[in-house]
Amino acid sequence: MTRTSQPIHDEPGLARIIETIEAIGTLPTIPPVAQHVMRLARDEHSSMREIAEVISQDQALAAKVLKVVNSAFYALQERVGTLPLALTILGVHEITALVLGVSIMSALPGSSDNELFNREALWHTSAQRAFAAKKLSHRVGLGRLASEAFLAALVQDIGLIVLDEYCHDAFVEVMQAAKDEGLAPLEAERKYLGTTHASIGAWLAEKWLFPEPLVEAIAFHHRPAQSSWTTPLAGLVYLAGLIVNLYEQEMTAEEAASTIEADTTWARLMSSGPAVRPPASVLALLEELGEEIAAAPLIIG
Amino acid sequence: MSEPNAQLPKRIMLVEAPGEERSAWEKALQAAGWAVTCSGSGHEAAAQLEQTAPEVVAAEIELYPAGGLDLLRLVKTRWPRTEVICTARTHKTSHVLECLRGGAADYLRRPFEPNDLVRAADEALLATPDDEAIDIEMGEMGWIELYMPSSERSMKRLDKFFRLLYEPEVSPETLEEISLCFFEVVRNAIEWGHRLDAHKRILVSHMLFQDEIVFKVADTGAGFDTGAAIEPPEDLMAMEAKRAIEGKRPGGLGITMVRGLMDSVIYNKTGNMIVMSKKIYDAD
Repeated sequence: MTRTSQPIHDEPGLARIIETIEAIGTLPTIPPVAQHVMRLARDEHSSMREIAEVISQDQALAAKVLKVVNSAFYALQERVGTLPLALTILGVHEITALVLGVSIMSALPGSSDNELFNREALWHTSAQRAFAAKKLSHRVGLGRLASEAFLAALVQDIGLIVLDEYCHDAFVEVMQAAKDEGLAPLEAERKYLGTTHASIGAWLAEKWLFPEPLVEAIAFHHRPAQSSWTTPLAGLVYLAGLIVNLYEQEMTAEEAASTIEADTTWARLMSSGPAVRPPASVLALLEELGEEIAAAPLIIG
Repeated sequence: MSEPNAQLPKRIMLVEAPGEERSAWEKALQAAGWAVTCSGSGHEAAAQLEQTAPEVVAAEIELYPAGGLDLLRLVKTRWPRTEVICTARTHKTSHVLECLRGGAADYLRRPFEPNDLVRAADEALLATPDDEAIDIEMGEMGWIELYMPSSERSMKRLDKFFRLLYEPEVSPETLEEISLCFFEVVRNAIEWGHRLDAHKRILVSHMLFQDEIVFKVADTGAGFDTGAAIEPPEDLMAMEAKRAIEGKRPGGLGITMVRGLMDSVIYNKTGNMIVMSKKIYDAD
């Protein structure tokens, strides 16, 4: 199977982390609603109407669906108050991405007492990245990947939650070291754990039988150059993350546009196939994405 | 397009077991100027198609061993300009969806009058493969999402199939109202959204959820002025005259009608996506 140009499980520390997690023996199983959606995605016997029933019986999930539909992203003239209207507006692909993303991220509950890692902030950033990835896909001619990009961007950091939940002490040490030594968190993970949250997330995604492109996007969301580029999903997720970072740094739109235009993943994405339509103005694209990021509703947690 | 030739009779192949019904159809079609060939099974028809090259094939779905659905797939692969009318003894929504997906021009539920077949055959002659180029993203009873060509004929074909799908669950009056609204919003998408460009695609979704039917129509255009038509204008004659100068079809009150017939109508701010819903059963 030629799934990735780089193996995901190549880091020395990953086996040790997996051993630690498995020794605890309480790794959550994928939530039933997510299983249902995954069966549908794999064309097994499952019906969208059944999924709608499941959502209608899950108040928290139904509330999130309504929250998303009423967000600025969909820019409706009036508020939508009923689930059937909301589900029809979202459509099959977006519902599956939303339900999968929300249920997966909510499958690892528990609040963190880790001062260096704030889950609330992660939920917020994840939603911002997800909406940015979706809009970006549409704006560069890759609308067919929009729902997948949304989902991948939403769950890309699931490895961080696993670390916080199952290797809590080691994770706190890593975060502390990153702070003390002025390292980027990813560098600190590599230095002290011998692996990264991206690899841990990909391992879990494989274990939960996620579709291949999603596993790959999680694995390579920080280093898309090493992904297979069978689909540009990892590239889209990386760029959405970068754009959210630039937005958080309160960089001017002009500075952000220069950064994006100089990015090698951006260049590769723009030349990755006949469907790709480079935007007429990166600056205008970033301004539009900025509005999207500012208005992204909190859909996890 | 299957070009009707004034010099030659239009040709149709009936794929149906021999019997009184087939004879009655044959007579009615011949009386309407059709040259008719008959075939007793899908296999037989497949062998004859090369030679007879009919413009239209009317095939029973559940003919054994190879029925109309197999034949539909074969015809649309090898002779895409030949139109297929599927006839059905038993009504299964999965068959209706298969016929829609497979590019059937029409679907006639039996029993029907021979003249219904004549009418369907004459209409099928006007169809083009482009009208049938529908991409179904999701096709199950109660939840359909598809992209249709931005054309009037495609809209009418789709309406026919939607009616067949929802007939068992929705009263004829409600179905008629929903159909009127569907025509109105799709025409807006064709005329306003896509400026009559038939190569563009319109997203249509239908969802039947518990006691409510919801549908969505979205185009890729710059948007429809949804506020303009909420209140009927005072001077209807002046409005009609203005619309005629602008080359628009009479009316312009369509959205007011849609708001009146449906329980809920919501547009996006751009005005190129509308979602609407209606309860399909009486409250009591």
